[in-house]
Amino acid sequence: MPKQSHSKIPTPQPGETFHWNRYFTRRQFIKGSAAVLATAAAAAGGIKTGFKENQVAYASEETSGKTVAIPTICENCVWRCGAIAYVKDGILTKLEGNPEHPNSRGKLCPRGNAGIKVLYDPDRLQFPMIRAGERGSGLWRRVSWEEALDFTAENMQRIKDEHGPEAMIMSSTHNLTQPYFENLLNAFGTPNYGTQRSLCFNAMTIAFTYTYGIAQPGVDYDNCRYIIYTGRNLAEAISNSETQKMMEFAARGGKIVVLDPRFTITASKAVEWLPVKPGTDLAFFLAVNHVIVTEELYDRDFIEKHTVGFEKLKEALQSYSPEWAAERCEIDAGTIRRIAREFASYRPAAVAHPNWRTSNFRNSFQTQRAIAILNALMGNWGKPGGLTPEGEESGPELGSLPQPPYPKVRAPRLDGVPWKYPLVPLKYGVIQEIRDALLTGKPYQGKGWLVYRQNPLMSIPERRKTLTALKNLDFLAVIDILPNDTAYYADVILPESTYLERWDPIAPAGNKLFLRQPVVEPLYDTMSGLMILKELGKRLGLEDYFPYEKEQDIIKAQIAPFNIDFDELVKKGFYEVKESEDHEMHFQTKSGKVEINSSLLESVGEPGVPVWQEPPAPPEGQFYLLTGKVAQHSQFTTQNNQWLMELTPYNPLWINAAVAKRLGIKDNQKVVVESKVGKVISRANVTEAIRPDCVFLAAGFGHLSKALTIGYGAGVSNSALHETNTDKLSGCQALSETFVTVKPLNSEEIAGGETS
Amino acid sequence: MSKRYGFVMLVYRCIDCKACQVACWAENEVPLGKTRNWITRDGYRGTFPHLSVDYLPGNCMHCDNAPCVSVCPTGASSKREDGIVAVNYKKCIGCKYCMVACPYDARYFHPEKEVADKCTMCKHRLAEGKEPACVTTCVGGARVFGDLNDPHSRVSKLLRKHRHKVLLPEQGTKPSIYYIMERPQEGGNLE
Amino acid sequence: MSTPVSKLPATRPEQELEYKKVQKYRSLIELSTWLVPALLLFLGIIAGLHIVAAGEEALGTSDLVPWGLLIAAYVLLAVTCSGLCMISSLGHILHIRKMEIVLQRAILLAIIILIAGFATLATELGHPLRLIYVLFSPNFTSGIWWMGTIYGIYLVALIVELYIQQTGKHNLARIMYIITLILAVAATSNLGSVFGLINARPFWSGPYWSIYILITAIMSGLAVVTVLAWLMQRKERGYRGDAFRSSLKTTSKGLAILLVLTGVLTFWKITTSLYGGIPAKELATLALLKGPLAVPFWLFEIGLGIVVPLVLIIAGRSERLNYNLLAALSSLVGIVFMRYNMVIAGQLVPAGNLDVQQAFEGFANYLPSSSEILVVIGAISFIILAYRIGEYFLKLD
Repeated sequence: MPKQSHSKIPTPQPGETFHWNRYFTRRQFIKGSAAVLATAAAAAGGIKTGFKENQVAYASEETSGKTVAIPTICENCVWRCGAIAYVKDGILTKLEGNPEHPNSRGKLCPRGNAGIKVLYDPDRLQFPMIRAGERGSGLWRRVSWEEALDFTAENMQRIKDEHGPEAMIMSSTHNLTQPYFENLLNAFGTPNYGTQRSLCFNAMTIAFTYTYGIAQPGVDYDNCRYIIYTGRNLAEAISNSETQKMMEFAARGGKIVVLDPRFTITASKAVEWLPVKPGTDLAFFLAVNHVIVTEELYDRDFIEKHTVGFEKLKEALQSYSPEWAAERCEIDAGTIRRIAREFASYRPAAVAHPNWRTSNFRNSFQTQRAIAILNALMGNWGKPGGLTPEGEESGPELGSLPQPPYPKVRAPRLDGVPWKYPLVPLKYGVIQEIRDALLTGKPYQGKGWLVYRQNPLMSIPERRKTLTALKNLDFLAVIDILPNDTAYYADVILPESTYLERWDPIAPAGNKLFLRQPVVEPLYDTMSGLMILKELGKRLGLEDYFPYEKEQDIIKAQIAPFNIDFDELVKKGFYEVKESEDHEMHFQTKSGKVEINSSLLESVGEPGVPVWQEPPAPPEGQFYLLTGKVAQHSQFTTQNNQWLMELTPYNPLWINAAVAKRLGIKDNQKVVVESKVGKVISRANVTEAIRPDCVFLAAGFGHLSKALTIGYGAGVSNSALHETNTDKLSGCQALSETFVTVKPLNSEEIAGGETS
Repeated sequence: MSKRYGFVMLVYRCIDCKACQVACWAENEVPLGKTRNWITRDGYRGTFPHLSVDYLPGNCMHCDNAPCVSVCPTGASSKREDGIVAVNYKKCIGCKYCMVACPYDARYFHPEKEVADKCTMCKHRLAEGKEPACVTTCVGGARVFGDLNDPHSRVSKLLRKHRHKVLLPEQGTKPSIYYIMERPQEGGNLE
Repeated sequence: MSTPVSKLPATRPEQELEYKKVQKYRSLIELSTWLVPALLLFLGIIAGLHIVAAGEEALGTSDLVPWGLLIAAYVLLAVTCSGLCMISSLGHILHIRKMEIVLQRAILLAIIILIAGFATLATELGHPLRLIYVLFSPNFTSGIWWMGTIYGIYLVALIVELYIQQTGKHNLARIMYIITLILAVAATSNLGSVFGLINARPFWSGPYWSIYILITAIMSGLAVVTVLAWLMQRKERGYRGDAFRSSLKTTSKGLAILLVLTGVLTFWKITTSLYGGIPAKELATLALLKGPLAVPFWLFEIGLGIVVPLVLIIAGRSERLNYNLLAALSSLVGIVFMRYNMVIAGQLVPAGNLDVQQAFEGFANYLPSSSEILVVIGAISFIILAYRIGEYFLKLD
């Protein structure tokens, strides 16, 4: 049991108005588990809402005083690791990886282990609340669930009646409840759906979809012998099972080559680290493809049988020699040639990893296409040691609840899909365009925004603009577990139960079905996302789209095709489905083959094969601002986690040692970092481990919400610096195309602080 | 032969994620601000772009010749037959001599129990047939635990196969944590 | 107690009035010499209780610097006690007549100082009640066990010695002087070994501190005796006053010799620590020379502790009583920092980082908390108060 815990004294009563900032300064530090037990018990006992059907499956008198192991699924990132929760007398004491789960393989990363501190976060949202002062004033009123839900639904309905359903934006990030969130969105009738995709790896998923028909292929690590990672830092951006497999692969003597402007931990494990110039990894891969095609090192059989457009590629690659590339990417031509030959000599057990964001430039879509094609040249699809068709989303087909068809949408989307971005899938969207549309009022004015488990204020570039857009809204509602930055500026907050207190729909992984179930009773007056969405739907007259009385009804419908006993599933946490038949070489593309030359790209007037696209470079005296992850944090969600913040309390600005010396910047000294759109004051991490023309800031820090007492004031936000640069093909935000100046902090500027 | 527990750290496999620390904090109810285990960065060596770095996972070395045991005035710290250096909280007078004497800074003062606390090799987990929490959760597979006296254990095999070292050998502490610094060769050898 | 003032002949009314004024003024000082230490002791006790209750939070120590001011104060007091006792015993055994008159009081003071030292140590320990395990579960390889045990026996021996002194059995007293001398040497050098046995801290490890502490024990003993002699010569008249004055000059000469010795020891400690460039030793020394301990080292330990008293004694040719007093007081202040520097410098370089190639930069942090400082002030106040009470109840001449 966590020994020390904040306790909020006193908790506002229903109807009481309180000031967030003051409310949180009145806290006391209480020592000892007894206090936590008492708080938890009081909270659990005092708040029956009537909506809750969260009967914790295991709880009984027999288990009193004993530690019970409950299988569930982690949600401290999106990887969905199977976890086992150890609970004693209603207190969660430990989380461990579930050995049965292919994503965790019995292990959890630091974030997964720190899930306990998500549940026992001192700043958690404990009850529904409605704004009682100006937006962002910190003044709130505690209300009942009925009032909060009525208030939310009334406002949504009012906007629908006055401006049409499209004036209501709804956004959410990758989660298990998402299908029902999409139900609300589609049934409500708005096309304006915001996801995290365009800020993440749209370029990769779209490139691979248009090449192979699969968004995110896997890698057969067990048989692979050579992998090229491009900006993919698995050691620090942990995808638990894949990180484990990468390290096993490396320990076996598998060859790793890493292209990254930073000497990441992944790079430190590589046989070869290539500190590529940002934005020019495209040149590298064009040249590698050039060598492989001109020296005929490719899999002729695979190319002939399973691909289209090879001749066009051959022609396009002609001018992209290693010498041509070396001038651009600053990797020696001899090295490029050698790597191309070595790589090809291992085929088909050689993979150019699909990565996440590569350089994160507008040309990254081309880079991803070049990488996808390099794999095709290796003929490694479905072969031992090659790319595997099983992506993240694959798995057995689940049952579902019957529901009516959605109403027809009449309005165009605010984010320009597909009228401005013809190739971007509707489910992905381009969220930064929604923000801009709110500011321009074009093609029409958005009026309301329902944010579910997302923090657009922190994630979208140019934070200052996003804040203005949010403040201009008629109505902003947030569903979350923490008082995040967007919630701080909202009109109503609907507190969700954490993943350790609620049921979620089934999550398939491989050939197994896994269950997320509550491991403790909800500590506070919170509800599961599924029930919040249903209650909102009910109040909006959309009840038919939520045909369940409690969360378990959905799960029961999902497992109906498999003849599984629900109670057994609850006890065991997973069910193993028979392995599906072997995959045929068929690709879900227009031609049914691997599209080296993409007919879709050609149909919108773009070249069908990857071509060089010159990336912008910083002017003299400026740096590429790189972003990335640390292993201890997940995006913007973990900076209030007591344990994770103990490990990584802020994000210093990495700057090359030689450059720092020239600029008179000492390690740990305060520096002013300024881009076209913002300025922050950070601390310098003077290091050899970064290119001289780059600086680096890890993502996730620099929160604006004063209600996050641990995360507020920790580090700086790179969204405050990022310019908005969207690739017209993939809709992907080019995060690394922001250039900054760096200088030591002068005394006269100290008063300024961070400006966002 | 009796058991003699110990760790082998495959340094190459450590990715500095610190899952071991969080797992230990939860498993052993370690107070906020304190830790029983850690990862030390050795590097960066060299200058851009010719760099190398290692991450060394660590915790109490459970030394065979443990300074904390010999300096403890009441025998609260003791070396058990199975290799664990244990602390008897009842006998600890809080003099912190062991903390000063430990060359690895492995101990911390427990603010509530008011004792000098440290890694126990999760002996309560060993009793249940589990590995220490830090080993179970190690994402990179850097932490290996086992019986050094059993020639068939993975730790013994690794030590036979690879060159290894202990930290601060000149201190004469004879630690039970061995570090394998090698990088893998093609054909595989750090499994 | 006889006050010299009472012997003044009362002649004229004006003088009478003057005398009363002076009398009143003096009794105010007299009163404040009781009240001020009593108040400070009270504060010290409160601070001590706070430390026992709040534990680590009330201390400036951390896991990297586990030993702080209270340990340093314990070393200071325990060593001063031994020093007093050694001088007392040596003075008696060797019949240094000039010193004998002041040595009578040294035993009482030694006992009080040691009790103050123990109280300081007990405050620092998390659980003083668990101290019984030192008796019931001894570990003979522990430096602290030996140190604690010997000092415990030593305290008993001192009390016996005081009792014998009070009852005036001179033959027995002579034996006790020898016993306490042996115990004092054993205890002091053992206290040095508590540090010398720590291989993890190269700045401490080795026999140096045992010798250093022994030498500086005598130095601090002489300084205390010098102050005592000065106070007594002010109070006493006639033959006794002269005896104290003569004694004062002798102890000052001794003090000068030991100051030189300590200076030489310190010089070589610093030089040898820097010479090899052994990281932990060198860094700890640099902490003293130009790091976080530079002011305590140069200004207090070297300046006030050695240079100023030497200059004063030499300038006054050990004949000028006030110079000698100032020298002794100055060196006592220096000795406080000597102990502090020794305890803290050894810990400022974290041991655990030594095996990585990246050079260690910076030092661990330690600053005493206000509670720690108050406890030390309280302990010193206790010494003053207890000694004055002792003066009342015991025959010390």
